[in-house]
Amino acid sequence: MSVDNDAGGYQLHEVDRLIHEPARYNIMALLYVIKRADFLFVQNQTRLTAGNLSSHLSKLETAGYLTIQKEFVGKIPKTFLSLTDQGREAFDDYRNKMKELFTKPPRVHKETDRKESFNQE
Amino acid sequence: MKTTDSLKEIERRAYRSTFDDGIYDMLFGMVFLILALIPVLESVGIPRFYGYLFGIIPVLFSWLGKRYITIPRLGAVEFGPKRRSTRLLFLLICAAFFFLTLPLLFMTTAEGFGGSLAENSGIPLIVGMVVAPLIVVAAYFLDYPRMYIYALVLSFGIPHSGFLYDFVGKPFNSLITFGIPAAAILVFGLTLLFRFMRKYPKPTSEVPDVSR
Repeated sequence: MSVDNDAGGYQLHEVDRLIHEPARYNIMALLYVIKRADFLFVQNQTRLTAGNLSSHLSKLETAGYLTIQKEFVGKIPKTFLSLTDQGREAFDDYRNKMKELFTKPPRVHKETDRKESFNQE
Repeated sequence: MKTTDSLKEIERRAYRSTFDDGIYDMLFGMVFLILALIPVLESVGIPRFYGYLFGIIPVLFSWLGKRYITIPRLGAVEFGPKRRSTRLLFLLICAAFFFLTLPLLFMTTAEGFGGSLAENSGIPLIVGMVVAPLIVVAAYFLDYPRMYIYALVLSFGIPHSGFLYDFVGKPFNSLITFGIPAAAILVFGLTLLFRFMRKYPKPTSEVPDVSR
């Protein structure tokens, strides 16, 4: 089988792989719908282990998708997470591409179609 | 669109998780308990007005509970501008209703009215009719469905208490009307709280530092 790149719509390889990973998608989706949350809240909502969440957050922060701010609430240090404008745009873009991918899937040629078209030529 | 729906669902789930602790349920339970106990206090010579002062207990309990039980376990969150604006609107409505109900409250306690108006069905019916929409509006704006039930209990309870006065007298009319729902709501709230504390144990160690 082959994929017709001229058929319109996005290809799977064009979507943001950083967001496409399920755990990171969950983090991005949660932070997209709220203003900001601390590490513990994101951990509870995404059900990730602290170490796992920490490593995903580092990757997203390196990409410039989220900001990590340390604050003291009383005497307790808190790590607040929020999406950057770039992160929001990237998430919007990812959603649009995925939506299009499912609503306008790329045309897939079967090998038999290819052979037929080859014979006609 | 499906994705928008699912994002709304994620937001709603995150928002409603802040109510999983049962603290607001217990707040309503305590309010009903105070309403049940005020006539008992009155029967031992404590004026009704002082009874209303006990209302500070549930407010203090919910504030302390959120601060020392919920946030250390669930984490802190700030929701988007839409939630914040609806909360602000709710506070404005609350303030408006407060000034509306204040004269009614004085009418039930003031010496000039003999305090006996509170036992008749008239004033309690009006109070019920004013308080019920307030709680319904609160339930709608706070997206807190259980509050509709509490609105129902309170709005029917106030006139019902006045109605029962003719049959069982004071303080049993209030004890029956508000004491039973108060006990049920408090047990329900406590169950939610224990379940919440088991689901979200307090982190024993410092949350790992996110590498920068």
